[in-house]
Amino acid sequence: MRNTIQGLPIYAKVNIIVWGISLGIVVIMCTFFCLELFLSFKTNMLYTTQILGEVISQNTSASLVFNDQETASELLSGLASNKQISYACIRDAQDTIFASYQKNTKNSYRNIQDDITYLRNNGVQKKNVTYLFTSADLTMLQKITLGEKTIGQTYIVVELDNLVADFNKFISLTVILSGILFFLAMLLNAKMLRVILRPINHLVSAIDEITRTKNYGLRVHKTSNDELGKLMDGFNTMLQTIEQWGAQLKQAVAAELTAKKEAQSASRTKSQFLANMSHEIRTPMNGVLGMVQILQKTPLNDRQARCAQLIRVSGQNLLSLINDLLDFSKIEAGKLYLESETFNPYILINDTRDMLAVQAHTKGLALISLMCTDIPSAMQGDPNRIRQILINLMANAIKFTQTGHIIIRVRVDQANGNDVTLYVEVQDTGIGIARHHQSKIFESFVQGDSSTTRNFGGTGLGLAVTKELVHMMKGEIGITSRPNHGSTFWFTIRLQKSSSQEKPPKSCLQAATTLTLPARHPETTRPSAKKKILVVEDNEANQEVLVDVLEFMNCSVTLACDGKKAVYLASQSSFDLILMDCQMPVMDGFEATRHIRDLEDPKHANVPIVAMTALAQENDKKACLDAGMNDYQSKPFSMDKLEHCIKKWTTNMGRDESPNPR
Amino acid sequence: MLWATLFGLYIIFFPGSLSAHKTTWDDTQIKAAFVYNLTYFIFWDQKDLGDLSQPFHILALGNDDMGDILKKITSHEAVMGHSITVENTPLRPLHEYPIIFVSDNMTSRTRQLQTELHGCHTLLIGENMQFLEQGGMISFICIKKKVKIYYNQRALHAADIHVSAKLYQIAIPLQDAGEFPQ
Repeated sequence: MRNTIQGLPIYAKVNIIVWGISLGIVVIMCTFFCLELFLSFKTNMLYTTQILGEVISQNTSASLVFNDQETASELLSGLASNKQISYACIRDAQDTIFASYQKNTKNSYRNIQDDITYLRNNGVQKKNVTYLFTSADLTMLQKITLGEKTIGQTYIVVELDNLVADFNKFISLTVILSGILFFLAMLLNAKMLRVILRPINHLVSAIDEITRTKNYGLRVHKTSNDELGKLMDGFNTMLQTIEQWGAQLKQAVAAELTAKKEAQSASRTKSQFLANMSHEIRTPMNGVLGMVQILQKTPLNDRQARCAQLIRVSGQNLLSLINDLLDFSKIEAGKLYLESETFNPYILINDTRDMLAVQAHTKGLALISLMCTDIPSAMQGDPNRIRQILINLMANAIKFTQTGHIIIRVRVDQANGNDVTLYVEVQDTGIGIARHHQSKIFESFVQGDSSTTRNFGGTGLGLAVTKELVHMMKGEIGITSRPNHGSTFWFTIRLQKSSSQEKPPKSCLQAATTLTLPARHPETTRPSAKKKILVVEDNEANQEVLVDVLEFMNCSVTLACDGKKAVYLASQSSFDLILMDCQMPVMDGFEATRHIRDLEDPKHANVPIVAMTALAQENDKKACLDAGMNDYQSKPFSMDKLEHCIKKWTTNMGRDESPNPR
Repeated sequence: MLWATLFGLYIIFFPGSLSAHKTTWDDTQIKAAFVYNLTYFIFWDQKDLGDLSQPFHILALGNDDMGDILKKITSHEAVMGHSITVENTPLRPLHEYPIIFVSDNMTSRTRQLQTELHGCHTLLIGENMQFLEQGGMISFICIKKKVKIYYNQRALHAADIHVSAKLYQIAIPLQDAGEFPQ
């Protein structure tokens, strides 16, 4: 009920209140006046009848004592002038009727004696008078005295018909007048409501229009100086303030947008700077490392070989540092994104192990991987970043272990539907880490202690990047270690099970159950037949490095210094593989690839193209694949990786895995 | 109280009405009651009545029964606080009697009484029309066996006796007496 009333509009509420009050007043007043009038009528009638009785009593006393019934009757007959008196009589001292009067002789229904008895028993007694009001009449007994003696009584019956009729007439009149007054009150109320509600309705309309059009320049017309006028003024002032605020807000938003654009531009500039720096550093590093590797393949005396090895290791460390810095910058900027692709975890782990096996064996360490067979063979995730995590941990383990072994253990930690959490640990027998240093080693630029940097080098960014990558894969990372008893780094990563499952490779199963040393030898296996390779590279140093390396790998090399020439050469002769730089003058590698893919001759158009670029951003690889290239090799490359890549794409193995089958 | 008792007895003997024609009660008794009742309808001069120790004297001439009945009726009554004494023979000057009842047999002495009472406020009450014609003031006359009250306005005026209007309502003035049989 309260909610209903609260939901009503103001005019309905005011109407209800005014109607209620008016009606209440009218009813109360009517009732009061009618009751008052009724009582007044009764009092007047009683008073009049009492006077009449007194007069009759006085005037009939002589008749009574002198036994003059005629005169008494004559006196009573005078009552005929009063239509309300229906009956009257004079009773003597013995209570017998001495004289009487009856208005309507036919109406002799009364038993007078009974009525008088009833009146005496129930009537109101005042001095010489006893009276009683009944629903139909007023009866009264008035004593007739002579001196101090009561010589008889006058009995009068007054009908209330006229009183009731008058009263009804008055009620009717009162009701009609009340109705008129109520109607007038309602008219006045309606008029008053119009006066009050009109400005309010204007205000509501203005609010609706402002809400609809957002036009805060609108103003409400003020019609009075009362409270509503003040409300209008207040509303207009509020609108003015909102309008001013709106203008200020627009300016602020515009400024913010400008600042945002500038910030985005700065961010883009920074990203571009990072990309350029990456490219500019990688390109000469490619030359340095490539040449050193070529140099190491030539006959060198011990000192020269040691120098070449130091140059190579230093270069690789510098490259690793650059990669960590770039990754860290991307993480800090929130620009590091994970990819999602299907991969085989067995292959991933074993390939990574193989990759680091040479380094481990060089130090005389055993590198072992143990994988449980319940790990799904096809999973969805970012294999490159997983590999990066593994390499970081395994490379650390190799770096800080002088003797003994490094064991990689992989098992399923949790499996819930398609969600699979892998638990990976890398255990070494190295120098270990004191407990109080363990909590800090995942922080940026932190190592076990200051002597670590002196003894082993490094920036302390590797584990920080690793930790961030693990967290991005919704996992955790930790360490258990004791100084001089080795360390165990562990991490979990949540991956998705791929729909296409296959059995784990046999080699992996074997690795999971037996301790094996990697079958790989440090010597490079050269391709048996000469492969015809088109190298597209604008940098002369890189041209020389690639040509030397490829020739060392027994490949037939054709060189193109820009994309346009590459397209031409690719259309003229068949190559087993094209190694394509991306950023080149005249025509870049992306466009050149698209042109090659558009060649009419399928033999020329389907040639495998591998990007060889110093562009190290994630989207660079995607751009290469989108342009139609088959694979991506970042600069600076290692001979092992390059050899693996050439082998991959010059045999059917690579073509079967190509993301861009033609 | 006594009056009520008398009236009760009267009603017993004359049930339904005081009408003379229905009663077997003596007219004298009725007239005696009327004489006493009449004291209530006359405005008596307090000076004439004297102090309250002075009785209200009534003289009943010519009819001892009347006197006796009056004595009985008024034995415990009073007029304006004065006790009532009824005498059959004048024992004091006539002007000391506020009321003198003159019986039929004494009507002839009306003029003499009037002469003797000249200038005094004594109410003369008789029993016939001649009494009024001879200067009597109020007369109780039986007509159709009912006692009627007649009055002589001139005589009342001459005696400076003021009568209540109530009495005038039921009494018949002398000039209208011709309508009634003697």
